[in-house]
Amino acid sequence: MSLQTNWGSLVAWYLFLAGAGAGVYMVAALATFGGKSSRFLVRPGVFLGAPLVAAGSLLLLLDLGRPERFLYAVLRPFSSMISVGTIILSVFLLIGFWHLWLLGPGRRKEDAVPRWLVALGAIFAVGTATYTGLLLGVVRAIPFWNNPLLPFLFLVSSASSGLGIVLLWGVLQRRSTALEDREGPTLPILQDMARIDSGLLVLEALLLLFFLLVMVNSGPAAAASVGLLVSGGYAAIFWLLVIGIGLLLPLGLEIWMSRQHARQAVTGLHTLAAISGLCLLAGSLSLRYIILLAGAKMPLW
Amino acid sequence: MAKYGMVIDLKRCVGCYSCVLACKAENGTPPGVFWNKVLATEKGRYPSAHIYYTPVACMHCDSPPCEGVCPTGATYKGRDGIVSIEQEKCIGCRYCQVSCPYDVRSFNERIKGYFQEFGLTPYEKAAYARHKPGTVSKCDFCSHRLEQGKEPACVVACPARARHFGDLGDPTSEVARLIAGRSGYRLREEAGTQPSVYYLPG
Repeated sequence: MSLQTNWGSLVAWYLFLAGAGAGVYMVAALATFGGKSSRFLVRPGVFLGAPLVAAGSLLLLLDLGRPERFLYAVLRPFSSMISVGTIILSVFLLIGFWHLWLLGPGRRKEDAVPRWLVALGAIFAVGTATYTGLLLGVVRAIPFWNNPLLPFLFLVSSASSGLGIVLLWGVLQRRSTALEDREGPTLPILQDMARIDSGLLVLEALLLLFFLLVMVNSGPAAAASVGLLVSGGYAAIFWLLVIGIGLLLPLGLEIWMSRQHARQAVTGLHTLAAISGLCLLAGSLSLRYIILLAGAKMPLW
Repeated sequence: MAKYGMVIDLKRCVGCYSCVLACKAENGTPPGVFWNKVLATEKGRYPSAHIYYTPVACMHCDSPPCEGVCPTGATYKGRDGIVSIEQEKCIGCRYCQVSCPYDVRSFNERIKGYFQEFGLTPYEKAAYARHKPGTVSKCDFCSHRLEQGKEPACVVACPARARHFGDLGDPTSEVARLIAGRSGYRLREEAGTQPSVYYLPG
């Protein structure tokens, strides 16, 4: 069984950063449309969404053998998933940075941002997050990736890491009490986000379980990939970082957080939110890393 | 136009690796780059254990997955059946390597010679001009030799005469007759890639 060795940790970081950036923008867009137009939920998405995706794209660029030729990738627009992805990513970055510029320091307020821009941004954010799964999903030579569940798994995990960034953002907000006075208390919002994310984590865990169960019965190569995760070379990362720190710990913390009364133990809740946020990000990166590196090709005979 | 293809007779292959060296000598590929490989597989247990040799190189598929995933069109399938890479167009994303079911594509790292303490030999200097760093490369059925009316280097070099080259489109050609007469098969037929390299059972 031969593992793919062509794509390594740079690509894993790219998949993670693009997913997290798209995820946190999705949160901002949903908050804008869901009536919860709290600046506290919108700002992380606007300030970090596009920059994170840009950082990821930069890593992808560095991974190219010939980075200076990257524009060739859009010369044949729909030929390859990489071309499609380059276009989706570019449109998202354009919208995201425009949105950021509109809200930039000393500039106009949220009202100045046209709704259609946010809606379009949300569509391309979902596109960016899903695309990272499709990039791997269309590779028929690697059965472990060649699975319709993968884009959904990456999408849910992206949304969750986006919420993770919002939970982390809460600690930064906490430092400036002036902001809290102006915008109202952030804790109830943090608790709401924790509640929503605990739902997402349950969904992600089910998708991951389903994904692995399908894969273990999809031929020798896919079964070997599953074996690498659950009992082979990547078992430590899988059980400790993906399952333990990435799913179970934040799930427990979030359920506990959402049950507390906001008035009590305020500082504690902010810290717990930040810890959950960090866990979610570590889990999301680890998940992509091991799925990428455990990609085994079918044996030739 | 001929549709080129190759037949490898596993009954004749002795696992001498001459084809690997002939390919290296002809194409001057840098260290770590192997357009042609011989895979050795163990079967059975002592005292009836055997090693089986299977030479593999680009299969020049009729529906090449590498062509479909290439974002720039650097990889293309020619009318002669040969899958080629235009190195000037390759951005080195390695999507084709990830997508190749046969793992027969190589990535040119920053090129170092075989004798690093002496620098590049005159032969290497000449040969490496063809191998651009940061791009992907692979077997092209020795297109430059075909143009001169010669067969690929691995075919000529094989001392056991296990390799045959010719026109798959012509039913009277040697390759077509060998495939029909000795039930030639292709590797990972179920992948639907339609390779142009056939194997005769060992």
